[in-house]
Amino acid sequence: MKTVVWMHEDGLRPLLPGAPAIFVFEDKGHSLKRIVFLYECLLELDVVIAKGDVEMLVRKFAAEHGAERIVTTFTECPRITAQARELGAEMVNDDPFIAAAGPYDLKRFSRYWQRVERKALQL
Amino acid sequence: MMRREFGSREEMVGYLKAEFPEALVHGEAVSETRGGRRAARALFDRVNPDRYARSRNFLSGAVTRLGPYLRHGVLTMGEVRRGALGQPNPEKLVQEYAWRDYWRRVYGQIGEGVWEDREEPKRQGRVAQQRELPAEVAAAETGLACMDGFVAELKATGYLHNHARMWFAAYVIHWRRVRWQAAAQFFLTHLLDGDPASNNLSFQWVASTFGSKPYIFNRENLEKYTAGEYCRGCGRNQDCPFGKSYEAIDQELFR
Ligand SMILES: Cc1cc2nc3c(=O)[nH]c(=O)nc-3n(C[C@H](O)[C@H](O)[C@H](O)COP(=O)(O)OP(=O)(O)OC[C@H]3O[C@@H](n4cnc5c(N)ncnc54)[C@H](O)[C@@H]3O)c2cc1C
Repeated sequence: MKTVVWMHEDGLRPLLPGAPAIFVFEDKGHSLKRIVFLYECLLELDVVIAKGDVEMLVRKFAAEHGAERIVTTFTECPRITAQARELGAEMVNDDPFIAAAGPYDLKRFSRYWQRVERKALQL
Repeated sequence: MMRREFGSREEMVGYLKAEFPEALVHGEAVSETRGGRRAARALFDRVNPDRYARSRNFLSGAVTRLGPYLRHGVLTMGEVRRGALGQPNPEKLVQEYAWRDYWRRVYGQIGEGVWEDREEPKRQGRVAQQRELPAEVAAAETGLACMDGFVAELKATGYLHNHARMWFAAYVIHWRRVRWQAAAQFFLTHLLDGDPASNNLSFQWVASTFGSKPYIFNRENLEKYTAGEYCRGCGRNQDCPFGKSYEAIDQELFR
């Protein structure tokens, strides 16, 4: 199935090498230095850079490539997650800190660390 | 479609200023820190977990500066964890990486709730809470060489050492009685690694709305971990608000 990648600011890395990718800037209140940083990351990647309405532009990009499938990097960010849902995009957690498991007790870091320490310290 | 070809960094910055005029209200500084995987890998190759563990609390310590690259997924958390495990004494560094993973997991559960107090503040002193960051704090004009220095560095580079973030957060929240959200927003705007998860939840940890007690510090602590860099030439040496014992500061702030 023809696939395109929607790249967002929590996943500035190649996700599906060979698949066309698009990144869309929207106004997030970033300072110029943050925008410059993001832009330099993007210039090293094979990605179309756009600005404006994320859902509209990603849909249009997918249509131009005749793609029925959109994939994107997993993130905990609620806004990006909602946009991905809106787009019907699959979220891929390609290289997490530790292989998922969980859910963990997140009341305090110490509880979480107790549960994951062994796994985290193993290659 | 935005442009991808530039003759120089200056040319790219000029283009971005024109494309994002709304960003210029936060200043026109551009960081020396370069974006991209090449720059990230160069830092990654220099990571030394053993030196990190021994020196990370010092401003001159062997910290990684990987923050912005992890924040934006240029490097993956799996990749940096495995990198540390291939070297001697990786535990401390891996545990710090785990802090990021932990805050992100909390973010995944509570979403925009990172902007609200997670718990009641403990041992709050005078209740009046300012809603805005005082102008002279944001302008680096408090006369406190440490705090003014941190603000200037933050604005110019988009980076602050973890300890400086803690001191600044404690100063603003506990000494200046500012709602943590105002300072958190200021950090998010300027940090290259600004992240609603790590940032807001760390502010809440300092404030004690996500932790069992408020974080405070004193001059001796700051002087030690900065090697006296700020205190030496500080114009407010005589009325340093931090120049007391922990007990005295505790009394003063939370009595
Ligand atoms: C008030 C306050 C605000 C903060 N805001 C942010 C933020 O917006 N974004 C952010 O990524 N971190 C934030 N931190 C955590 C920490 O200060 C930074 O991650 C760290 O200073 C980044 O510099 P470094 O890459 O050299 O860190 P190193 O010490 O070299 O650590 C390596 C990596 O581990 C992770 N890490 C280390 N310490 C912490 C920590 N305490 N919490 C979470 N992750 C950690 C980071 O990804 C960091 O890049 C904040 C801390 C405080 C006290």
